[in-house]
Amino acid sequence: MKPFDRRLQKDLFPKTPAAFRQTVRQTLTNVCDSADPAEDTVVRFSAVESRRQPAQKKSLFTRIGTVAVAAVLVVSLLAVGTIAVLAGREKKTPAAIPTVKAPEPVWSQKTEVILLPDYTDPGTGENYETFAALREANGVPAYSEEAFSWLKELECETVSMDLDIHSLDYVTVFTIPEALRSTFAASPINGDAYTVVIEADEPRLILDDTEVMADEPNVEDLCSLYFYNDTFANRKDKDPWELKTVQSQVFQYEFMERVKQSRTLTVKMTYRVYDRAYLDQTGDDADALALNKKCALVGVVKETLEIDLEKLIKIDAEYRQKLTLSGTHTLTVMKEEEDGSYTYSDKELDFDGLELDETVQYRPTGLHVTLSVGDLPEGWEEHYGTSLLYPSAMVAENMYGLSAKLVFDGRDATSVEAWRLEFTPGKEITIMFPVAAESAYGAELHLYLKAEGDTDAQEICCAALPVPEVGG
Amino acid sequence: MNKARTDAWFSREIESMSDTLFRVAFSILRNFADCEDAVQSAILKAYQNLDTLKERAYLRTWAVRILKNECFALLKKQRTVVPLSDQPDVDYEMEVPDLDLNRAFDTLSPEERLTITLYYYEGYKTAEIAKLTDVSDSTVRNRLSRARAALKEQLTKRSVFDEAL
Repeated sequence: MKPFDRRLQKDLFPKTPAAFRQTVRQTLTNVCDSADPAEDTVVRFSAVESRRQPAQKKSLFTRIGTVAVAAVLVVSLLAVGTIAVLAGREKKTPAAIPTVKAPEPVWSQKTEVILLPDYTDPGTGENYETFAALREANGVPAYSEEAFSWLKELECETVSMDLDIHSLDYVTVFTIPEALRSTFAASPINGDAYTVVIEADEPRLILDDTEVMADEPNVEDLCSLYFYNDTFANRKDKDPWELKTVQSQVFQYEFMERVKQSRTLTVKMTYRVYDRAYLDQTGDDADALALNKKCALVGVVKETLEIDLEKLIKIDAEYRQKLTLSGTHTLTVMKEEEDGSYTYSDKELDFDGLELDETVQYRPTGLHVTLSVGDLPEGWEEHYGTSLLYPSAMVAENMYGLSAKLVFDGRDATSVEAWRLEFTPGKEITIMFPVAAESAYGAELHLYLKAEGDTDAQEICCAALPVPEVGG
Repeated sequence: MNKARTDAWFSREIESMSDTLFRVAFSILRNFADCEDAVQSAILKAYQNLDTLKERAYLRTWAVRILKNECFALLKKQRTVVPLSDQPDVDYEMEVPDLDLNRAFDTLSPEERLTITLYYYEGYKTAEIAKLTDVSDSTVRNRLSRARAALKEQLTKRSVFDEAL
C-alpha cells in the first residue's frame, strides 16, 4: 500500500467513542422493544422522527437499492414483458438484416499466469524463498503446487470495452477450468468478471508516490472488481451486490496500472491470487495485513491490454431525435421531501405530448443511446420527469422503473452481449449496446415502464434507431 | 421470522457495525453530538422500514445509506439556521490520531469526506459508493482523485508552514 493511503487508512478517525457505542446499543434496545418493525413505531428521538409517517415514507435505497446504479458495471437490461407487435408502424428495413455481431475489437490482450515458485515481486524483490520463509514463520503450510497449478489454466479474456465521457470501461472474464469448479463448492463459480475504469477526462494523470516510471505516468488504482457466479452470457439478472459475496471466497486482488498517454493506451494489470484459507483481513493493522497477504499469496495473473485509443473514442455518427410518448401509464413517482427522505407513490399519468430526447452515437465499440426528458406535458411536475429516468435494470424481479431492449428484426438482442447502463439520476440514461453499427439496420429501441404496484411492464415507446451510413 | 428473532438479528448486525456508523457519521458531520443524533434517527428509520429490505445481506449497506441520508439531512437543517462557515465545527476533543491530516480532511466537502471514508475505511468499491451516494461512478472517482490531491496539497502547505515557524 502506498504510504499516503496507509496514512489515510490508519490515522483519519479517532477510536469509536464508548459513548457512541452505548448510544447505538440504547437506541437498538429502545426501538426493538417498542413495536413490530412493520408498524408505526412510536419512539421519539428527534423532531425529524416524530414527524415521519413510515407508511408513506421509505428510504430511497429501499426502493431503488438494487437498481443498477453502478455505472461501471456491465449489465444487461432486464427483459421485460413480451415483444410487442408493432402493427402499422413504418420501419426502415434494409434488404437483408445483418447478423448481430460483436463490435470491432480495438484492443489486443496478453495474459500471463505466474505461480508462486516463479514469482518475484518487481517492487520489493521478494521471491519464492522469501514467501516460503514467511509462511513457515507464520504457521502457514508450505505452498502446494498440486493445489494451485490449475491457475495456469485460468482463462482471461477481455470481452468488451467502451469509453463514455468520463471513463474507459472494459470487461474481462476470468473462467476457472471446468473440472475444478466443484472445488469452489460454496458457490459454483464458473465464470468471473471484473470491470476496470480508468479516468479518461483528466489528461494530467496523478503521479503515484512509488514505482513511477519516467515515461509512464501512473494512475490511481481506479479499479472495481466484481465476480459473478454464472457464465458471462447468463449474468444479466445477477445482482452484483449479492454476488459480491462470492468474490471473497476465491480471489483477492490488487491492481497496478500504467497508462501511456499516446494513441495506444497500455493497461497493465496485476492480479494477486490469495489462498483464502490463510487470508485474514479482519485486522486493521496495515503492516499485519500486508504480511498476511504475503503468506497467502499463491500466484499472480498479469494482463496487458494494448488499446487503440483513437479508434475507441471515435464517434462514427451521431443522431438526435425526439421520441414522442403517448397513452396513459402508471409511474412510480419519487419525491424528495424537505427532511431528505423520499416519498413514493404510483400515479396514473397522461403521457400524451411527453417527449424524450434521444441521442444515438455509433462508435467502433457499439451504440450509445442516451435518453433525457424533454418538454413536460401540461400537468406534469418536474419530479415526474426525473422519476421516469430511474431504470429498473438488471437485478431483482419486481423492480420498477424504466427498462429497454434493442430488437433486431423481432429478435431480442439482450442475450447477444452484456449491455451497459449508465445514468445520472433523474437527468439522463445512457444505454450502451456493444453491437456493431452495421448491425443497427432495422434495430428498434423498446422502452418499458413498470410501476411498483404493477405486475407487468407496459411498453411506452418503440422507435427505430436512425440508420447509420456505415462505411460512408 | 418472528419479531423476537428479527429484533435479535437486527440488533446484532447494527451493533456490530458501530465503528462503521461512527466513521460514516463523523466523516460528514465532524461533531460527536450530531453523530449521535444521526445514528439514532438512522437506526429508528432502518427498523421501521425493515420490512422493505428485500435481502438481509444488504442490511449493512442499507443502514449506511440511511445514516448517510440522515447526516446530510441534519447538515442541511443546520445550514438553514447557522451561517455557512468554510469549515465544519470539528470536535477535536476526541483525540484524532493525526491532527494535520484531520485538519486537511476538514477542508474537503462532506461528500468528498464520505467518499474517502467509504473507500479507504469501509472497503467499498467505487461502483458501490456510486450506488450508495446516488452519483455516477465517474463522479466517485473524480471525488476520490480530487480529495486525495487536495489532502496532499493541504498537508504539504502545512508542512511548509510549520517549517517556516
